[in-house]
Amino acid sequence: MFIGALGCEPLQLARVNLENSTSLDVYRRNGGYEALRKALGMSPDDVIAEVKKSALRGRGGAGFPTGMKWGFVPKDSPKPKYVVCNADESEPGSFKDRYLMERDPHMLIEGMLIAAHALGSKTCYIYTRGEYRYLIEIMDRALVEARNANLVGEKILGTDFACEVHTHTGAGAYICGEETALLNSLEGLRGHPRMKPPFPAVAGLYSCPTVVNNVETLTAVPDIIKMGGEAYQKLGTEKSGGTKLWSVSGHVNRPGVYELPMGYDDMEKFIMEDCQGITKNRKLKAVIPGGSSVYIMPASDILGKDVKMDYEGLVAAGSMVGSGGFIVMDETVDIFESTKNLTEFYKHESCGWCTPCREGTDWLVKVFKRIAKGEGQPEDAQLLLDLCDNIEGKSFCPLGDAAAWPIQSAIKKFPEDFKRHLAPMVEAREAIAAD
Amino acid sequence: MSSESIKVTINGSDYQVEKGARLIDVCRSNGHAVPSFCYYSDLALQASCRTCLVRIEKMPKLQTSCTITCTDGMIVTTESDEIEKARRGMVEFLLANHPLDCPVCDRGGECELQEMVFDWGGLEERFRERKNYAPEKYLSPVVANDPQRCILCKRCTRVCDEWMGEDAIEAGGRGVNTVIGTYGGWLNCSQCGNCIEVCPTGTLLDGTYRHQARPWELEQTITTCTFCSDGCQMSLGSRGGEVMRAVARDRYVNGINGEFLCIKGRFAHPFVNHEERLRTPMIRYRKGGKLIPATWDQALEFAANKLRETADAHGAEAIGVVGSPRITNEANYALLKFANEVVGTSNYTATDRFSLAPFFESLGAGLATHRDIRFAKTIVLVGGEPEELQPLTGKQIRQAVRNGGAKLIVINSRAIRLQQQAAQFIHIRPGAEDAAVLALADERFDELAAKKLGVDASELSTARGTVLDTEGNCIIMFGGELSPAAQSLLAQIPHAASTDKRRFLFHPLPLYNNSVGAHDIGLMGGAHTASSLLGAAGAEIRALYVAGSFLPDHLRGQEEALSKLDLLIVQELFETETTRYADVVLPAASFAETDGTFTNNDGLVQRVRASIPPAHQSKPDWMITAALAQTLGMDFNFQMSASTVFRELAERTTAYNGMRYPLLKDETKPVQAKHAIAPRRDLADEIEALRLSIESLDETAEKIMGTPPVGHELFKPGELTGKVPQFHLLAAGNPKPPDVLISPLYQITIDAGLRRTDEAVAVAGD
Amino acid sequence: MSIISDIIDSTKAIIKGMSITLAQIPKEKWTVQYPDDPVTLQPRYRGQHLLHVDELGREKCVACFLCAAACPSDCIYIIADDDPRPEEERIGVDERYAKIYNIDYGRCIFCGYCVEACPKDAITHGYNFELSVYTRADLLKTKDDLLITKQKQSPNYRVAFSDEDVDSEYKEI
Repeated sequence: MFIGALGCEPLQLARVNLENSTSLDVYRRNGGYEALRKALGMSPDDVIAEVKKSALRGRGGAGFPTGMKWGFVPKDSPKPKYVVCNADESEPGSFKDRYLMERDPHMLIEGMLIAAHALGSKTCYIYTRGEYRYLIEIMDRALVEARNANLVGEKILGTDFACEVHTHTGAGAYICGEETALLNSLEGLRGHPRMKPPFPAVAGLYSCPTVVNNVETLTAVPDIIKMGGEAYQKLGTEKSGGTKLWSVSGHVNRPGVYELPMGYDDMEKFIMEDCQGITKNRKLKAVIPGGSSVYIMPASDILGKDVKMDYEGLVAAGSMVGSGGFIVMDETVDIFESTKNLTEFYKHESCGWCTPCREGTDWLVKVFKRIAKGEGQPEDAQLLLDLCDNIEGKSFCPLGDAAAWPIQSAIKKFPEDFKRHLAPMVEAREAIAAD
Repeated sequence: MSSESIKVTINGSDYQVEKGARLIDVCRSNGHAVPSFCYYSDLALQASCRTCLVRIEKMPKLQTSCTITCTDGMIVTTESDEIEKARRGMVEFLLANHPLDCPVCDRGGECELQEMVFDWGGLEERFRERKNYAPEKYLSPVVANDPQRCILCKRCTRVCDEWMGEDAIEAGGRGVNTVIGTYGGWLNCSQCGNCIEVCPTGTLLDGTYRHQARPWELEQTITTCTFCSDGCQMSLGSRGGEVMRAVARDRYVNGINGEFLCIKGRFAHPFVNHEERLRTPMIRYRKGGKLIPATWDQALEFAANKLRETADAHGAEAIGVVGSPRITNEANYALLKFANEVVGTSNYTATDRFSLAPFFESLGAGLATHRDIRFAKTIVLVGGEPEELQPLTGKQIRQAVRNGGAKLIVINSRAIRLQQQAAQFIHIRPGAEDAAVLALADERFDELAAKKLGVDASELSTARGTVLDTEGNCIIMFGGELSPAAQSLLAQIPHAASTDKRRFLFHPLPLYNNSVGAHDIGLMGGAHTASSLLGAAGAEIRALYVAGSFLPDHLRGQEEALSKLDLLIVQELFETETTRYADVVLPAASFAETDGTFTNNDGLVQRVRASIPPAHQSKPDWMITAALAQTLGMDFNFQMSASTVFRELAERTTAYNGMRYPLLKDETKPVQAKHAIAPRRDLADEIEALRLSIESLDETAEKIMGTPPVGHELFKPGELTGKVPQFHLLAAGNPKPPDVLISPLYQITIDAGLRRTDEAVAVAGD
Repeated sequence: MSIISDIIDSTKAIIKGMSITLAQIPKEKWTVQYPDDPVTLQPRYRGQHLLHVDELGREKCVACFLCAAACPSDCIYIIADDDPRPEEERIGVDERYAKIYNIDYGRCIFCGYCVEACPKDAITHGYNFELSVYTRADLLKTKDDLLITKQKQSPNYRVAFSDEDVDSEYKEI
């Protein structure tokens, strides 16, 4: 297990390996809350401008420019504004937010406070997934410390800025990682996505302007303020600034959370050298680079292809950054089985709101299970693709797309794994035809 | 409402549409069919069925047309290979886990999913897996539920929330396991059954009609509901002389209520075919004796002779004629004509709870239609409890507040459920409604009224301020608690307070389906009220000819009055307290067996149509009256036709001038009676009288706390569960419910005698 | 014309006619001695209807009214009812069944549309064809007359085997 930075100075992971890293003392000794002090000295517009300059993109998966998102919040709205931290990290393969909150909770609080200052918000919520209950305790402890140190509450750091931070747990639903579903859940409603538009920036929590940001996005904010937007952007590429956390898991010798600058060069080196290669010296078969909902990449697309690890580089290579859940699979993995497993996950987590996702994922799982039992028909591969096509782009929220993409890419990139499972029936049919 | 017009291109044709129009509506109204399940106009958008997908230029992906608001220059494609594939895909998904049990399903034949599959379904089913199973159950004695058939359009949950404000039905579970159900136990609601109505599949079904008939063999007759003054349009489905069900599905009927009906309208029709209906005319030859079945000729002859005897002995004024606010205008008109022309008496009335005569005499503005209520800006509700007594009005108020942003001011002695929607709720002492009206009309009396109402004077001025700040329609509603003087005062408010920007409209809340009609005909203008007529029984009144029955309220305290009469002729559906002393009982036809009109509280004159032939030997009320007149030697010349009666009625009733049945034919375009607007007049006398009566009000009366439970006026504990004998088998693990519904017979008595007996309610004009 | 040529002509005609008659005598006979002998009916013969049951003896009919809707002569009358008992106790295969199922053979034209319409294969045409009765009211057959478990099959018919060419006898003639 490795937690640290490669190719750059650690920013987000600067304090995670320190002893007692959750305490306010350690955080302050290492430059904590300085960014907040600096931000409070700036006007909210300047803070947003700094974030815009940094080319920080949302780390939750969609990669929407954060500064722009903040800019959408209407300044003159008479309604209260909210900052919500999306800590519902449920994407299979992603575990970076957990380490950030577990080891450096104050960084998140500071990031939220800066965001609240920039947006004129007086209330922040940290929405954590139900399974991260123990993190709530850590966060709450940190909040108590911060409140005692006059960092949360009224007159923060002696200024007129007042802000409350609350923690909230979900009940264990993947869909609540979708920002509007998260807001529904936070309001106490059924966790299903809302219609967009209106976007949360205009009508979010309790129909008030709301910004929902991932943990990693918010924890990047203090560093941006500290070093300045441009300097932060320079760490990465022009369009995606700064560093990115990658949660590496699977068949590598050294899994962990890696902080890499955007545009890290290249993926093969990352797997083979930084992560110390594939376990038991087996061959690389496939990588899911951005959490389960992105296209799967076969080894042939990685080895020798000089894949840059940033938003543009991965799109060019036929996949996406997503949430940075980097899953490595060696040659022993049956892609059919892994895809079946993922599909079952999506069926279980579909909220049931819209037809294609609700019925489609159920149908997909049924087909997968039938094939696994050896009752697959030769045309089932085509059926799967057709169902995915009917789900993709037609569902209410991106969960439907997320369920369809892995299957589409798996069938396209690893047809032999599917053929093998469909073989018994194909042979039986041929035998009948031969009779 | 902006009427700015923008250009939208659909499939290559340009259309000018109103700004802000919804794309799916624009497509449909211009003949580009777009299928949908979850879209339901005037409900919250859902966008979950994904069948209304269209392609809009410059937008990524296909878009759901139900969520798109038209913008200028929008270019839309509703027909292409891509869209067809998507729609077929969605229908295939919907059908994947939907059981193919159409032969068993009650919705088969009028099922939206069936129709959708006919249009968009594949020829072959590709879903070869096992379908998910969920057992059938009952959500309440009247709501049967087959979760397997559900396509989760959630119309039911939205209707329950937005129309009824009850939130009794909700989705549970997640993903493919989502089921529509209750929060545990039975549906805790008013059992309106609107969830059944809007369900596009056979998921929610009428438990009382379950597996009785198929829709295509029912004869659908569009008629008006007989239970309250809202006058909902509904379609009675009958088969072989039996009324099987009442629905408001828009494929059969499109009235003022849309697809809305309440528990009474939807489920309380079995009284029509009830076995206790009177079968033949009956005569009591000897006082205290038994009622003996007779032929029509015998009964009419007997009644006519006795009437002649009474008139000869005591004069024509000794005969009283009593109509009913529950029978048709035609029937009431025939009775009035009988009183005036055959008998020549001024002692006629109708058995209503309160008279609207003072209100209509001082009417300062027109009557609001239910559509006006939905789009009103301010609604003032004085007394009454529309969500229980006029459910459609209650629904319109709720939607006006929730969807239209209207301000609702509730002035009531009880915290009725509608006060949850109210911008301001003035909780007053019971019986003090008059004081609130006085204060609304004249600010000089704020202090006095506030003292008597038990509220702060500022509350009254706030309410008045809200009314006077209104731009748009301000609708004033009032219940039966107001005294005649208060009714006049309220009716004159528009003269003082309306401006160019503010229009006042009235919405009286009478209790019966034809209360307004009975007033319009002039039946309420007789020398007596129902109660005083009973008081005079045996003295100056020797004979009564009653259509319908007296209400328990009228009979209370003078139960024996009817026995003092020399002659009592009653035409009724059932044996009631009134028929107990009747000398002649004539079986009358119910609303489902007669042609005619009802006038609702909007002043809309709406048709009632015969769905089945009259049960047994019964006859429509107006026909009985005409036959009795004939026996007495006077030919009404009605020619056995209700339309002839109505033509004569319309000629003689100012508000109905010019109306004919062909004009009233279309239930989608109801015709409003032209009630004369009274000019502004001096109200000093009324104000003074009101002031005096208010000053004598008790200031120590305790306020009634607590919100009355759902359905407390709508239905009373009874035995509808008895209508579903296998009920316990359908309970699906639920405990046996408290009996939530009424037997058909009880429905009538219930309607007659509201159960607000525990408090002193000012019963006006009665 | 002489009388002799008349006699010759008529004798010729008699001989010609009788030769056909006499030639038939040794051939196979088609006449069926009904009701002493059973009639052979084609497999597709449309006789009195049969209401079927499943292997557990439950009525297949779910009272969907499709037969009644399809019937051109309006001779089928059904009253459906709800049977919410557990599956094994039910009368029919589903919770909906026909409480009353009447066919009026005074009106039925044996067109077979009801059989076509049935989604559950619950109604078929049987072979009973002896439907004459003394009173018209008896032409109304109820479920008790129609159910396959209760309908008595007439001994006066046999059904042709499917490979038996029943039609050819008419073709020959």
